[in-house]
Amino acid sequence: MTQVLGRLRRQSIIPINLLITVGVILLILVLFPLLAGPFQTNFMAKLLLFGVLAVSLDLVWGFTGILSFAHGVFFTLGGYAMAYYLKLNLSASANTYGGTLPDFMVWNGLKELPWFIAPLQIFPIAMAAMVLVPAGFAYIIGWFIFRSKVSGVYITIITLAISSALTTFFVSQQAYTGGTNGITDVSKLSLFGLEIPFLGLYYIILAFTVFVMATAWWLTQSNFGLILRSIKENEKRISYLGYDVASYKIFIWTLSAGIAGIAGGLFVPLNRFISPVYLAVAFGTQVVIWVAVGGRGTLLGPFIAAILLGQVQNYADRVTQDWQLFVGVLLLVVVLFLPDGLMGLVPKKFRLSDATRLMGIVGTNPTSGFVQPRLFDWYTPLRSLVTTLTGFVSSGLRSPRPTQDEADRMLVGKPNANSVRRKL
Amino acid sequence: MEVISSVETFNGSKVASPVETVLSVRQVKVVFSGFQALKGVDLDVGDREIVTIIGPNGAGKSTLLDAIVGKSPVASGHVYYHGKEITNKSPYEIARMGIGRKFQNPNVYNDLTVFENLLLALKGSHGIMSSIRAKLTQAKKEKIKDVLDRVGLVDKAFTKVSSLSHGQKQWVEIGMVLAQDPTVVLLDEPTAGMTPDETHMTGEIIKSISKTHSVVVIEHDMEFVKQIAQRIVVLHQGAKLTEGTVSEVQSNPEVIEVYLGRERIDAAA
Amino acid sequence: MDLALSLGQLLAEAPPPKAIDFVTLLNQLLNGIGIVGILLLTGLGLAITFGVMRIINLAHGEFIMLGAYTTFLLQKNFKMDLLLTIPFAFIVTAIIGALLELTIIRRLYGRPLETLLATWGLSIVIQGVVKLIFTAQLRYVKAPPYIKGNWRLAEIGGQAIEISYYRLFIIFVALALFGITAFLLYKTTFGRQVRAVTQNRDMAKCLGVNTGLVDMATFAYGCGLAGVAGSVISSLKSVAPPMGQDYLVDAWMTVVTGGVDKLVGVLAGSFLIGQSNAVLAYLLNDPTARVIVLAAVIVLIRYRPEGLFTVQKRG
Repeated sequence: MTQVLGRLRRQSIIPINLLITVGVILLILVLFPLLAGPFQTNFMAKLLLFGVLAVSLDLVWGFTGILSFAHGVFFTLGGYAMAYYLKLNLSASANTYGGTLPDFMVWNGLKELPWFIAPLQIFPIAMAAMVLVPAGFAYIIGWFIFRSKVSGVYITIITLAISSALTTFFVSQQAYTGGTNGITDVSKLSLFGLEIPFLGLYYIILAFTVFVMATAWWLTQSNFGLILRSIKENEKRISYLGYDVASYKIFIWTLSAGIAGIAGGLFVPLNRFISPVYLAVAFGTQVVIWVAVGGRGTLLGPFIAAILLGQVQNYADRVTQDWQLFVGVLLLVVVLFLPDGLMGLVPKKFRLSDATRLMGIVGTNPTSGFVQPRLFDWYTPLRSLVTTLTGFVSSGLRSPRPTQDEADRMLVGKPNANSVRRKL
Repeated sequence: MEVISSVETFNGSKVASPVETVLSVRQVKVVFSGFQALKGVDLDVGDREIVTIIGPNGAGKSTLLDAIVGKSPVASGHVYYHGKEITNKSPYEIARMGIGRKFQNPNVYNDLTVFENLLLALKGSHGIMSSIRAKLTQAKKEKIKDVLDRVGLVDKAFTKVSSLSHGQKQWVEIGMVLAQDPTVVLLDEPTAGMTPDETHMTGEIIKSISKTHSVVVIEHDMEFVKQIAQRIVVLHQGAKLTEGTVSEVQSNPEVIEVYLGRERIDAAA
Repeated sequence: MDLALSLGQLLAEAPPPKAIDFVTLLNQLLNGIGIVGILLLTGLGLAITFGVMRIINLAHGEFIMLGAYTTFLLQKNFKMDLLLTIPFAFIVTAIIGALLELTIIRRLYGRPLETLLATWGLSIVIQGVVKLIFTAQLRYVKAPPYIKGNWRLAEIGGQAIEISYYRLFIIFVALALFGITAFLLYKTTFGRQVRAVTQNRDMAKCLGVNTGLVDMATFAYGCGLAGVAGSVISSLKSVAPPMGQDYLVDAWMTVVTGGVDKLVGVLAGSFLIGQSNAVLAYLLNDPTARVIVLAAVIVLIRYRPEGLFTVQKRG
C-alpha cells in the first residue's frame, strides 16, 4: 500500500519534457521577428491569434465535448469592439469626410454617433467591451442552452443558427456596422498617446498567447480538467456525483468566448479591418478544422495546426483557387481515419500521455493521467539514446530509469485478492 | 423543512427497530407519456439499514431510484431526505445532500483510470473554483486507497477502466459511490454480469457498507437477496405489493403469484 | 452589449406599426405559401435522413445544389423542360447519396458529432468539385413557359390579390412528395423495414432485414428528395456552387421546429416558419424577420428539443 501512496505523492512532479518542448517552441517564436521579414511577422502574429482561437474552441470541444461553430462569432465580436475604438480614434483629417463620424456612418445618413457605440472611443471601455461583449453574449447563450435538456448535436445546430443569424444581422445594419464591408481603414493601436510599433504588437500578442496556453494547460491538468473530460464522456453520470454540470459548461464556454474575443480584438490592429466574413459559418468551420486536424483534447495540436494550415493556405492561395476543396478533403480524412488528429499520428511510445510517464515509470497498462495535454515527446527517446550510448561507453553505469520489473514492484505490492476478502 | 409525522407512525407500526428514518418516499407517481410507471409508492429507509427491492421486470424498481435521485420527474407525491423535501430537485443537488447511486449497467468513465474515477466521486466541494485550486492531498489519497481496499481494486488503481472486466467495472462504480460517502447508497443490480464468486464478494461489500450507510439494493438473484437482505420490498406493476423479511415475503401468496409463481411458469416453459 | 442595444435600436427604428394594409398583408401571406413550399421541399429530405435515420447531414444543401445543376445541364444540352428533368435530378442525387452512404456515412453510425463533421467536410468537397467543373459562374434555369404569371384571386380597390403559378407549383410538388413519402414510410413493407431498422437495428437484422441495403436506400431516397427540391427551386434564383448553404440552415430549422418523430412535423414546421417569416418580413423587413425567426427557433429548441409535434418519451 505504501508503494501506491508513494506513487501518488510523486504525481506532482514537474513535467520536464513538456517544459523543454514548450521552451523550444517559445524560443522560435521569440526569435521569429528577427529572422523573418515584416510581412511574415505580421502574418505570424495573425496565426498566433488563430492558434489561440483554436485552443479556445478546443477547451469547449476537445475537452468538454461541445462542438461549436460559433467561435468565429466570439472572435469577431471582440474584433468589432476594437475596430470601433480604432475607427473612432482616427484623427479628423484621416477621416474621408472630416469630423469624427466614421465614413460608413456618414454614407448611411447618420448625423451623430449612436449612443451605444460612442463609449467605445474610450480606451478602457473598448478594452473591457472586447472581452465582456463576447463573454457576456456567450454567457447568455450558455445559461440559456446548458440549463436545459438540449444535447450535443442540437447545441451544434444552435451555434450554426447563431452564426447565420448574426451574419445576416451585421450585414443588414449598414449604418452601425459597416454592412458587408465591415469596419475598414482603422487607425493604428496606440497606448498612452504612443503608437505601438509593429514589433511591440507582435510581442504583446506572443505574451497573450503564452498566457492563454499556460492558463489552458493549468486548467486542463487540474481537477477541473478531469471534470471537463468526464462531462465529455458522460455528463449524466457526473451529475449524480454531485457536480452541477451546467455551471461547469457555462464557465468554460464563457471563458473560451472571452479568450476568443481578446484574440479577435488583437487581430484588428494587424488586419486593419473586421467584417462579417469572420462571423460567417465558413470561418467558424475553419476553427473547427484546426482543432480536428490538430487533435481534439490536446493543447498544442490545435495551436500548431492553426499555424501550419495558415501557412500552407498562404502559399496554396497563390497557386490554386481551390484551397477550400483541400480543407474539405482534409476534414473528411481526419474524421474518418484520424480521430485524434495529427497528434494521433505521433507514435504512442513517443507521446507524453500521462503522469506515469512523467514519473519515469513505464507501465504496461494503458493509463491516462492528470496531465492531459499530450505532446510530441522527443525528449524521452533522446534521453534513452544518450543513456544507451553512455551505457556502451561505460557498461558499469546504471540506467537511471527503473526497468519494467522494478517499476511494477514499485507500483504494486503483489495484488492479493484474498487479503481483501479476509479483511471484509 | 416539512417533517411529516406519518413517517414516524409508519416506522413505529411497521418496522420493529426504532431507527431514524433517513429517506422516505410518499405516494410517488411517475408518468411516461400516459403510462404510469409508478402508481403511488411508499418507501422508508432507516439509518444503516439494507432495503432490498425485488419485483418482476417493469415493476418500476429502477424508476423508483430514478425518482429519488431526480432523474425521472415525479408527477405527484414526495421524497424526503432527513425530513427535508427533495422531490424533483436536480440530480447534482440530491447527490450533494448525500444520496449516492449506482446504475444498472456499470456507468463509469472508461477513458479514465480507476483512480481518477474515484477522485471524481470523492466527497467534498464540487464548485468550479475549488476544483481548479484542488490539490491531491494526503487525506484524499488515503480515502481513495481505503475505497480501493474495500472493493479490492488496489492493483488496478492506475488502469484505464475500459480494460477492466464487467464485474470489476461494477466494483469501480460501487467504489465511486463509497468515495462519495453518501448517507444513502442506492444500488441498481450491483451483481449483474458477475460470476458467483464475484457476486458473493459484492454481497460482503454491501454488508460492510451497511455498517456505516443506509443501503437500497435492487436485485433479481434470490440467493444474493438472502445473503444480504434485512427487509425486502416487493414492487409489482408500479405499486408496492408487500414488504417484510425474506421468509415473510417468500410465504406471501400474492408474491408467489406475481413474482415467484411467474418465475416457476417461466422455468417450466 | 452594443449588439443587444443596437437590436433595441433596430426595433425602435423599424417602421411604426403601419395601419395594416389588408391587401398587402394578404399578398404577403400568399407569398408565404411559396416559402412554405420551399421549406417543405428542402426539409422533407432531411426529415428522412435525420428524422428517420438520425444522420446529421450537413451536406443536405449540396444535394439540393446537385439537383439544380442536373436540371441546368439537361436543359442546356437537351433543351429539356424543367418538369421532365425532375426525375433525373432525383436519380442522379440518389445515386450520389447511395455511394456516399456506402463509402462514408456508414462508418459513422452512432457517432452523431463525427457524422456532422464528416458531412460538413463532404459539403465543402462537393462544393469544391462542382466549382472545379462548372466554375463559380451563376447559371440560370428557365421555368416552364406554361407555369408563368400570376393567378389573380380577387381585386380590392384596384389592388390585386394574387399568387404566382410557380409558387403554387412548388407547394403542389412539395405536398405530392410529402404524400408519397408518407405512403412509402407508413403503408409499405419497405417503410416498415426502414422504421424497424431505425428503432432496433440488431433486432431487425435478426428478423432477416438487410439493414445495410435499407440504410443505403433510405439515405439515397432522402438525397433524391433534396435533388428534386433543387431541380424545382433552380429557376427561382441562380444556380451556383454555394447555393445549397442558403437552404441548409432553413431546412434544419424546419425539421427541428416540427420535430422528427412523425413526418407530419416537417409539414407543420415549414408552415410555421414560412408564414411567420412572411408576416414578420411584412411588418419589419427581410433580414430582421430572418433574425427573429432564427432566434425563435433557438428558443424553441431550448424548451422542446424534440420539436413541437413529438410525444414525450421515457428516459
